[in-house]
Amino acid sequence: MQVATVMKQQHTDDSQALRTAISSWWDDGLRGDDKALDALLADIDAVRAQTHDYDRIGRCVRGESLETRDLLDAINERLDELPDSDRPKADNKADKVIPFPGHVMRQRRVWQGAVAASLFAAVTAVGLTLSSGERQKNQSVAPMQASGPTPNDRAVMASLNGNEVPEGASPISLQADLDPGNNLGGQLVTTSTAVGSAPKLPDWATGNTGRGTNPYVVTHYRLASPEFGTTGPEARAASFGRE
Amino acid sequence: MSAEETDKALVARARKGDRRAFDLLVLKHQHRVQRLIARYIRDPEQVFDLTQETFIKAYRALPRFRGDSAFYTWIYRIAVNTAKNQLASDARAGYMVSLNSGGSDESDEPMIEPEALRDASTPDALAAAEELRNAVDKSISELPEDLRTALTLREMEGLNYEEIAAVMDCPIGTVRSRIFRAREAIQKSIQPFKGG
Repeated sequence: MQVATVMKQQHTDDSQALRTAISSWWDDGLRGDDKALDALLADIDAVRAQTHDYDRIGRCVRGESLETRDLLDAINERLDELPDSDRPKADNKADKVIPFPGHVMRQRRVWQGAVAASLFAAVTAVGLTLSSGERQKNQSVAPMQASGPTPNDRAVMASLNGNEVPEGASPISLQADLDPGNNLGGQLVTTSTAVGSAPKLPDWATGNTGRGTNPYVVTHYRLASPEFGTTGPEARAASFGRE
Repeated sequence: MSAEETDKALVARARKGDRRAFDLLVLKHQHRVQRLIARYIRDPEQVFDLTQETFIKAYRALPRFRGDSAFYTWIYRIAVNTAKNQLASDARAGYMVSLNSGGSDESDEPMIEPEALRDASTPDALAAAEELRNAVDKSISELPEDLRTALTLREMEGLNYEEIAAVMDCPIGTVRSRIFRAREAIQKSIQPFKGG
């Protein structure tokens, strides 16, 4: 008998505590009380009945006329019809940005390809540089320099020096003597057949320099580099496309 | 734990798949959402439909709720947009609607006076509602002064417990207890009228 009374008292206290918690929660006054929130979650029906009354009381106090309806069942029915994809999952990671699994590996492969292409381009450029330098080193004159005076050169020299025009000279070359604006002041113009006496060209033009970069090859490399350089952007563009 | 924190705690649980947590959020906000939508939509049945739709949208969007704003702010925004979309849809369908809210999606200007939204069901239902109202009014008038004041400050003025405690010069726990007791007394008095 006494046990029953105690149990009844306990039940009444629990019920009273739950009702107080519901009232506080309804008024946004449930402060730091996770246990009270758990109690509410454990008895949704009690919360439902009580909040419906609370809404009516508040409506009467405020003099509002609109009769609202408890739509929880209707909402739950519609929620049950939602496909799984539209429902929050237990312990889902929706609030975290998870990269696509293959993303990192694919990005790494793209970069590896770009690095390999760049390395190949560099090796090719060095090879071109060395082979071009070697070939030009074997030539003792600049690429565009004639190995000796041409017949036209000799004709011009002869006319300037008053000698006979050699056979095979172009008539145009004789105009140099007739041109009044071409005043050389009687200076004797010599022609030379010796390769060693050719006008000295700078090293960068002859390709004879043993140190530093050959500008011809460098220029060529720079012209070629966009082709090699496209490997990177193409690869990146491809990666954007796949992502 | 403030109201926002309580709601956020419930949202966090709902996002983990706890449907009871979302039930609590529905129970807490459904009446206010209905009243808000009723300011835009005249037909009560449509108000109920759009309220359901609002909560369905909210449930589906829960993973995207960052908690930058309070949950009620977020769901009220969904409700207003849902109501305005319905108005626009009705307008396209040729219904006569008055878009007198300024036309801006950001505007929360009420379109219809809430008083015009009386649930025009059967005369019996209206009579029952009137009876209920009278019972509540009578019960409130019979409450002790301190209980009535606390309840009125809460329901009429919308003050929180701290503010009511300051006005009534009493501890917050006392305010909580007074409001609860007032509600209990009114609930008892309206038991015979319940059922509608």
